[in-house]
Amino acid sequence: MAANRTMFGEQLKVLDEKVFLLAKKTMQQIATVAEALEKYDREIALRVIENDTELDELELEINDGAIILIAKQQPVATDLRHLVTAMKIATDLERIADYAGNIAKAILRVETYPYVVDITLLKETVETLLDMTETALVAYRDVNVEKAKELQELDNRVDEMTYKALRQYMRHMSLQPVVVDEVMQFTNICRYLERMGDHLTNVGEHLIYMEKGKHYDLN
Amino acid sequence: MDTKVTQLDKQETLATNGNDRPSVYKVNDLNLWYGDDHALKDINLDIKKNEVTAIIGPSGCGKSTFIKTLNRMVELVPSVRTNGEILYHDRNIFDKDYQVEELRTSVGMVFQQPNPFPKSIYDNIAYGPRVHGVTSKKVLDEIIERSLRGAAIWDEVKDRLNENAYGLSGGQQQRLCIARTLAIEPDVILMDEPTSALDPISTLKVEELVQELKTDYSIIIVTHNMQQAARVSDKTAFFLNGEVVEYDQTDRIFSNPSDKRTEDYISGRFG
Repeated sequence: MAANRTMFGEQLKVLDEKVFLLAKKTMQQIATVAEALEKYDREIALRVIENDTELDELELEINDGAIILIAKQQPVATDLRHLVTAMKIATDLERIADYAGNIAKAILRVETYPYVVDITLLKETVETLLDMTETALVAYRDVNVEKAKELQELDNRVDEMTYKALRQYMRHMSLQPVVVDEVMQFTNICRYLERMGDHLTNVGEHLIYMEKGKHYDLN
Repeated sequence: MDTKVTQLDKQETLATNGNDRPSVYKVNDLNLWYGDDHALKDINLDIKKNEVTAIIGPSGCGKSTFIKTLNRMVELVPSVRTNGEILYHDRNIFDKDYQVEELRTSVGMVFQQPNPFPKSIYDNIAYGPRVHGVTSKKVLDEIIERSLRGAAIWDEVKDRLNENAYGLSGGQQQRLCIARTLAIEPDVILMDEPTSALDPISTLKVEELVQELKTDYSIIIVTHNMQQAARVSDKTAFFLNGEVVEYDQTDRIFSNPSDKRTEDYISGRFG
């Protein structure tokens, strides 16, 4: 039994490493799409879209690994919650990466540069999202509930900034209806960034569930 | 930080589910010694009617001793001494005027190794009712069919009731033993590792049977197989070194136990 459990512990570690890798790659995608947005660089935007497949595959790999461990090791209690959490976090990270892809597509639909709107708030939001991803990563690595709870405050900031930006862009559209199509892309980007924040708080919620066995709502 | 707890109340309700059911057994401060060996220490358990209660724990933790105490079988060991009380329907089974035969008529037991008598299938089931004075062939026939159906083995043996029970497979023999227990219409069925000698299919059949039986009986099952405890029971008690470390809803024990020792045991970290 003890030997089996050692093996289980090692296999769980391998799975966790993949979750960390997915989180790092997701962070990279956010940073890269932010660069594409800032520079209006279509090539970089295209790269973000291409990279997404790799992240999708990594998510599937994590899910398959977790299912095999559940089937073969029949874990219970914390071990089981750990595996389910790994799967759920992988799903959230993959969704975040999808939103990075969506932002890249929105950038490709923009035709005018310099942009018709100010993107300062969007850049600040991206900074906070990168902070959130880093926080989630540390919370997962250290199984740190207090760290996970910090995500709530950071997500509130994302919500505030994206809401502010959205109001700005709406006003812009009403004043200059001719640029509606262009501005729409930026309102979409606002929404994608806001959703990224929600998924990152989900990661925090999953972590708390893993550690405490209780559901917390950080949103 | 305003962190909302949304599911906590729900989980606590879960943990207390079924507590409004009447108790079959209330064990209060039970201690038991084999000579100088203190085998059960201050056991307190409230076992509910029409539930399956699983007793888990490593070898030598006192779980078998405990269920053998519930029908006073443990008294067959000469050096045994107990204190505390076990209330069975509010009456202490250790009271001097408590008839052990009366207790064992209400509390049936199924053992690890199927132990049919070297008799026909029919006579195995008829044995208990006959001891209790049933002589009518018609009544016995009814009891035999009802008991074998109750133990989910009727269809397999109905055409060979007069054959020797030893000709049955291990899994069938165990269900026959369960049928034999049902024949005396007990209130509680104690099961001491009832599937540890059975193959997986027979195990599954016995587990399904346990689920069906709990509508009419209260079942207390000792098992080494933790997945079995998780599958079949409503409540689980974890025994360690003669003590009850944790007793709670099975859902809770296997998803989020309160005591680290329970977590370590069910996760296979010791035992």
